[in-house]
Amino acid sequence: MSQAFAVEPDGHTRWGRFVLAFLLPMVAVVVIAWSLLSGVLAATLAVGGIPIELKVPQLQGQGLGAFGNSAPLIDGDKQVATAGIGEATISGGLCAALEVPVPILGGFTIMLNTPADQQITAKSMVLDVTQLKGNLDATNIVIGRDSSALTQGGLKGPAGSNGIQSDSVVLTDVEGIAYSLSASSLKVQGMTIDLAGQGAGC
Amino acid sequence: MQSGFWSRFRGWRRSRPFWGGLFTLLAGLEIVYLPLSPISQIIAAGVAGVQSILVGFLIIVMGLFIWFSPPNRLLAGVLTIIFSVSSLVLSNLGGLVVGMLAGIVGGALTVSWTDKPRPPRRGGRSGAAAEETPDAGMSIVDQPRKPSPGGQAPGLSCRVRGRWASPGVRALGLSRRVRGRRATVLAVLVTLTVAWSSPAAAASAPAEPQPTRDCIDALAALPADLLRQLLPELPADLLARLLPELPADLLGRLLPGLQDLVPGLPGVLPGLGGLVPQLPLPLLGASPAVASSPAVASSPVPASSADLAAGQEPTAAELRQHQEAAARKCALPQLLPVGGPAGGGALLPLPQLPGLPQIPELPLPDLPLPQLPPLPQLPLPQLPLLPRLPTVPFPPLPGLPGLPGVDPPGDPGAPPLPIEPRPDDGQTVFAAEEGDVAPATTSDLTMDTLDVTSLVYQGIVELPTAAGGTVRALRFQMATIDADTLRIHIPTHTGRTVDLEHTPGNHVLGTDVTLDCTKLSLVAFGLLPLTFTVDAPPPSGLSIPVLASTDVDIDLVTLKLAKLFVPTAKKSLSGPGTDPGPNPDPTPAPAPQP
Repeated sequence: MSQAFAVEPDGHTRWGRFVLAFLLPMVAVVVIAWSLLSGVLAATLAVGGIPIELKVPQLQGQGLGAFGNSAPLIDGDKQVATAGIGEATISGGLCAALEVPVPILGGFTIMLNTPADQQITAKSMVLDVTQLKGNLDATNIVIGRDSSALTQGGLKGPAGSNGIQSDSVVLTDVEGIAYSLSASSLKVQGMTIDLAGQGAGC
Repeated sequence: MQSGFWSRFRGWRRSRPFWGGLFTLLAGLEIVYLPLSPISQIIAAGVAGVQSILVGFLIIVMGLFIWFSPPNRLLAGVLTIIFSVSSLVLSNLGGLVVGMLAGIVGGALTVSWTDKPRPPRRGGRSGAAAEETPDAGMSIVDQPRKPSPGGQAPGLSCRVRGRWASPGVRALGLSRRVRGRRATVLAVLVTLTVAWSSPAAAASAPAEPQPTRDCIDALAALPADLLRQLLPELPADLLARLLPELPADLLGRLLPGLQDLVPGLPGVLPGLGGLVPQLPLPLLGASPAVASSPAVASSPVPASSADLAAGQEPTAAELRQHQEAAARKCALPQLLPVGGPAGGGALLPLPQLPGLPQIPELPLPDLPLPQLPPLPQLPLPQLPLLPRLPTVPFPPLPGLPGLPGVDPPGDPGAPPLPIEPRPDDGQTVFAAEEGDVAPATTSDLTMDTLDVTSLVYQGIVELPTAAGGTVRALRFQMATIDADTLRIHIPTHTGRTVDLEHTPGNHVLGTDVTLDCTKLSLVAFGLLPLTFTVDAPPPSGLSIPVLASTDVDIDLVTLKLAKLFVPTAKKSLSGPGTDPGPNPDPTPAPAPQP
């Protein structure tokens, strides 16, 4: 693919065309974003490796399974508790702050906020948490089942390890730090995304 | 040679959309960076995580194509734009929007890059620097440049096909090259398609289900004039699917009315016998004038017809029934006969988006709080005052009779659950239920105070472990528990522990508890230290209606509760080498060791 240049090549960008080729996809983006924010489309979410500070007034989950785990991250292993929730409904407004490190420049914080009167529904949500605080109301909870035999939450851990499972949980006034969050389907209405400097919290 | 390298690099850089490719690569990297969860977790969440990474990798591959295969830059640029826009939905909101924007910028830069010489208004530079290199696959063969007078850039007047060589056009610097125009049209079409199809797909999927087979059969079964009346009410896609299903003669009878109702419908439908392509009706264009004559010729059409193909006339009631059935199956209330359904029952409402579940109010469990019995009534033998020896197992007592003078605990609304001890001898080891798999290590459960109602010792249970062995544990069942300062330290296979604790002062409440433990030690009623282990189990048939204990320490195998309420539960990880992170709770967590 190397070419012998008789004269110096001079490629350039036709800026008029660039503006056109930039604006038209943005129209599509606006339409899709509107569909997402009005809850018609369900986005997928799979974030890992950066600390996410979560603050949720109420989280209802159908099918919870959790066990201790070791999460390999870029800067070493982290001890987490991996929790899987089959169907989660978050109400009262979610606040999530993601610290995204940027090499050289330090980093920035992405804040996701949803209004307090809107619900968020997620399916197959899997979290790696290092710390979680809140009130717990659990139904049919089993503490101390082998984590390879968990029947709730869609997760199975290694054999021999302790696990917790519950048919349904209601967590209120939840504050926690998650290092990984993924959901197969996430429906949000009215989420706002803000960028803030490094270190801003919920 | 440094200068040689940089000049070569510059040459390489200018011979392709370098910045477009760079932006694309950065966008792809940014989109892929976010979901780098552990692989097992992505697979646990299903396809979701995989597609997040897939979109990012595709964008990276497009960037590499732009850099290392510039003849394919147009396709790569267009695909970059498509993938970036779809990453908004497929991958963490487009790498939290940053990746998506960078990808669109990269794709736009690539699509608008050209290696053709710059227009002469840029200072005549193009005359000297216009390149001769053929851009294989992309451009046309340049004719050799002829020198032309007037200082105009040579070579521009020799471009073929569509190049307007008028001086006015050149002065404006506009170019009308066919290839460039084609690229623009392609980009426009692609983005419009994406913009049009995605909300259409999204809106149509939840809002309008496909017309079902049942619906079409029900409509096809309606008599002709009724169908004619209902036709204006039907949506276009249902009509497009229904019409080919109707028999030809029925269509013929419907057709003149149809043409009045649905302009543009070709009159060839009866002739084709129903072979109508499934297109939205406005696209089936044909002049109504042409349509009317074959339609009239094919079958005599009564304007209002009670002339049915077969069978006798249905009664009015049957007509209503058919109509209601059709309305129900198609979920279109506008098809309902006027005056409401004749039969009982409400019809389906319009299809709705799946309703979000109601949030129940956070239930404070209605648990009976145990009351302490009046102590002087205990019929216990007088024991000498012995110092506390918590390690000495208490000698087995005969089964404690019911404590007299004790009111049944609980408020009238919530009677305690009856728990029957197992009928056989409590010393017999019995097997656990299906699904109970014990972990390899026991957890450490401690409580400062524990009030229990209806504590029953079931016996020794044998639980299977994942490794294939069994673990013996004492099984206790309790109706309700009320604990304070509860802490559980759960060891994990990594050597660390997961700690669950709650703020002291708020009580942990539970109902319908099954406790499997290898060791249970507590101080009953503030007086009686009790320790039970698998080797020194409690007396068989031990049943205590009410128990208030302190200093509870349990080696827990499995704890099952029907309802558990833990206020201000706090879960954290501790152990050597962990980073506990900022502690949102002001009270410092203890530092237990496994």
